[in-house]
Amino acid sequence: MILSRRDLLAASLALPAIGAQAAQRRGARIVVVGAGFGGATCAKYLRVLMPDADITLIDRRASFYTGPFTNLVIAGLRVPDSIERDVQRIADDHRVRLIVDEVTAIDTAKLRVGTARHGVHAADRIVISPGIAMRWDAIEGLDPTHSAQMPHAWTGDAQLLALRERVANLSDGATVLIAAPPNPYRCPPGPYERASLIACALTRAGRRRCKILIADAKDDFSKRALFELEWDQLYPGLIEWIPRAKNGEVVRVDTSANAVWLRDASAPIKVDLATIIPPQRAADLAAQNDLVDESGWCPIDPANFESRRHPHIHVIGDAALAAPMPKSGFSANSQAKLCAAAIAASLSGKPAPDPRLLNTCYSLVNETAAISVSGYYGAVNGRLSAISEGMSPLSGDVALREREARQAHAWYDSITADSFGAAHRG
Amino acid sequence: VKRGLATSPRFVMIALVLPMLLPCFVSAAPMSPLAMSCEGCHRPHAAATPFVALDQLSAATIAADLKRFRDQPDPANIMSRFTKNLPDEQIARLAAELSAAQGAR
Repeated sequence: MILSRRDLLAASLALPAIGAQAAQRRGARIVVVGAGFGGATCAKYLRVLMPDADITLIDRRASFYTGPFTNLVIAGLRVPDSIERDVQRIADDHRVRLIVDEVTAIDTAKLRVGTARHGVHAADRIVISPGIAMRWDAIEGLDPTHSAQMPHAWTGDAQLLALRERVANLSDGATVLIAAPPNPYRCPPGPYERASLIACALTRAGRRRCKILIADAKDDFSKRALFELEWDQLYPGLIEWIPRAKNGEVVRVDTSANAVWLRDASAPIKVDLATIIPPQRAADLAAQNDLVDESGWCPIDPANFESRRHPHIHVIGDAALAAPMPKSGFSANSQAKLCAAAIAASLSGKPAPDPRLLNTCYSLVNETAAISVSGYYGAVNGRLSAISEGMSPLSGDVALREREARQAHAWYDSITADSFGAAHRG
Repeated sequence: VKRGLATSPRFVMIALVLPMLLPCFVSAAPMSPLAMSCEGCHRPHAAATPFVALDQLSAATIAADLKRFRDQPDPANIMSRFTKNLPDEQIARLAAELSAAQGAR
């Protein structure tokens, strides 16, 4: 068939219909709030998938410490700078506009994001990856003004440095108490990795008469059998886990007296250092903008992580109700990719992507030994479920734990480079 | 009978075929979210880690490795956990995507 000029003219007239999609894509405005593993990764992949979109990344922090490897830093086994990320560098690497400012309100109907000092930003899609907030009403005597005396170091801020210094200054015979929160919370194996690595630091320093108590609001925890096995072998008698069933839940603290009350206890435990990780919920940004349900977390459609409460607003990372995925940096990174792909497909009229997700949580039990748990997840009919899961075998030998530790370090380098761009420190 | 422009068979053909062809010229199909998640560890071009850079391997090699992880399960290996219930056709698709990947960066 030979095409006449008239045919070509007709075809060129038909092109605007195609071009409309491209224009829609080119003109798409997307605001991403939160530059952690979820938000930073989402901004990056939105740029990759929609080269011409107008993408704005907003975070109130100029820099932060990553959750992963926080426990290594606390135990003095890694320098703080090596896990610090500069938000401007993230935005530069991902080729998106950055605003360092507080988000004051999200207009969920008109899709507008208001900031304290940088105006209001209209969007076609909004992605929030705001992380967690502490439930300060849960433990008597503990509030934001007192928390630094019993630092949680769970949100990537200066509490990390305070806790690191307190651990370094522990004398032999000291008692350390780690309060582990009820489910769900950020980084399920984190409190137990913290106990392991503080034990590692104390053992190394020859302070073998110290005691680490884990006061738990739960009766079980992630990789428990593996942790307990490794504690018996590496740190016999050093770490004691007190489950909820034995009144392990912390109900009250006196930060000035270094005193911690467990449920039903008549007298407090006097400690040299307490790191109280409070019960958690989705961050204020989600709670204040009608994106949470009665659980305090954000219900989402796992096919695309769009809020079930407000269309065209997506919630990813720790704030989202995405069980059975754990609240981890890897989960947030994986959710961000699905979310970005779903938004790009939706804005260009293409079929929705296949909603599949991955996670692995490595936990170091000392500098050269690690254990892990992994899951492969899929969304079917609005439900997220594990397609397959697994964890390190209890029978693992020293060589396997060492191999997993090498993988844990390589994973940290890979996932942070993927999420935040090339490392610039450390 | 003079047909209207919109009912011209040639026009219809062009109008139907062009949009189908256009994405081929503009960009390849985007990676699936699963393949993107693999790259969280397996960074393209990054050969100096224990996680092999998959863009350096053929699709046949990746597919054979994934099947080996699945069919000779080793709980010590993270890949066996991920591939336990991965059907052959999905392995083939994933292997093709990862082999061809140039990576986001």
